[in-house]
Amino acid sequence: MDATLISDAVIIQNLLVKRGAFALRDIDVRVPTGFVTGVVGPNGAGKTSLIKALLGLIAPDEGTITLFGAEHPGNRAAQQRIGVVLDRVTAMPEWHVGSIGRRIGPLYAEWDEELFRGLLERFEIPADNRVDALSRGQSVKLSLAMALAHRPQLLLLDEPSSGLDPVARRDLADIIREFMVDPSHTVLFSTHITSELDELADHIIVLNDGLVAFAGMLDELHERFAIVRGRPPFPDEARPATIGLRFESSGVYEALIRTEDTARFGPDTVIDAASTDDVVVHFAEHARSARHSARDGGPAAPGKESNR
Amino acid sequence: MQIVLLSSSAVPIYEQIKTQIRDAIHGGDIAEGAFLPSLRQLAAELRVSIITVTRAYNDLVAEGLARNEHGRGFVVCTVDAAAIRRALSERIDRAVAELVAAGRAARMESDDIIRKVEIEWTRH
Repeated sequence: MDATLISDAVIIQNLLVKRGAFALRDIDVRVPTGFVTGVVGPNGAGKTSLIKALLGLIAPDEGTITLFGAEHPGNRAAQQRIGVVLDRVTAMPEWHVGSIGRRIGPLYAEWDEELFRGLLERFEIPADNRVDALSRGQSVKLSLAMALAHRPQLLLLDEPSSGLDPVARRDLADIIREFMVDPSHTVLFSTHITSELDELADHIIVLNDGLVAFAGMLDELHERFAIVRGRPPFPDEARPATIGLRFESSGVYEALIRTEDTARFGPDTVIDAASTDDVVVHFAEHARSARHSARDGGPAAPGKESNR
Repeated sequence: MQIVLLSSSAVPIYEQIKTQIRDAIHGGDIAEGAFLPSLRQLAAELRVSIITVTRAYNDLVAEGLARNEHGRGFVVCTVDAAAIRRALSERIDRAVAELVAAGRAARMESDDIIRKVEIEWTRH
């Protein structure tokens, strides 16, 4: 099967993943082939659970995950085609970097030792270092070298830039862009740094409280949402149109709205373009106030904010 | 062709890419029938996302400056000299209108503006 023929490297349908009190639910998203998808959301939004479910590391309670057109997990052929960068290197701490190819290479049909050595050199990771002697930046780069050395078509990275200095972060972004020069390649990475998305991501999944707040191309996100700001009094009839409504002590209010609701706000308000950051922050605010009003016995705000 | 992006500019990145490629085509730096840089290669070089370059290229196609030869890349279309002259002259008209508006806002005399233009002109 040729991966270039499949327009979505990953299709997630109706996914439910329970993790104690937390649940990732009603997840219906696609990861388009040939593009970089960013998964963004505040801490605890479910980003890592989503990536672990994609890898088959946690089993879904409901729903299906399709990778390269075949249902997953338990699909070994798909695993071969995924390169993974998690928060910890998947190598034993006492191993020497140079021995990794010999140890894990045989697990992969396409392991390219020459490419692996080349990446180590480029990333300036000495082959005679032990895995546990590497800095955070070096560990991420080692994970990347291991992920790329078996020539994957899909690269999954969980918060790869956390703990990296600006130089290492730029190197990481450059490597992802180089990987993407091949149109059959796909990247999915999670982050809570929204500026990274604007520079790198084509497609974005905004997770909030276990739900998908938005999924679509990044420019679509900017077309779909806007920020409204105004002086008091707040037009109460427009409250249902707001997401994450916030009042300053002066009474000035700010909220995220859908662009089609712009007309519900008077001429004395300011409508501004919404940044990726605005979308993430206001959805989080919205979920928090919904939780509070549910706890106080008030009417629970609608939890689901999906575009599908 | 060298594209230089200004990330602090109010002009969106895709617009900056489009304008600079358009200028390169108008100025003859990219010949008719030549391929534009590979979209993905350019995204990697400029450190921008793939959709940003896609959007710039799609706009160039919409303007009739390039065409998408699927699977091979984007090719610069036959350059219509009259259309280029028209586009360049429209650009000058827009810039002059902006210059005059800025000058009026600053309550400057037209002589001062002309002097500034002459200084800028001889600077390059």
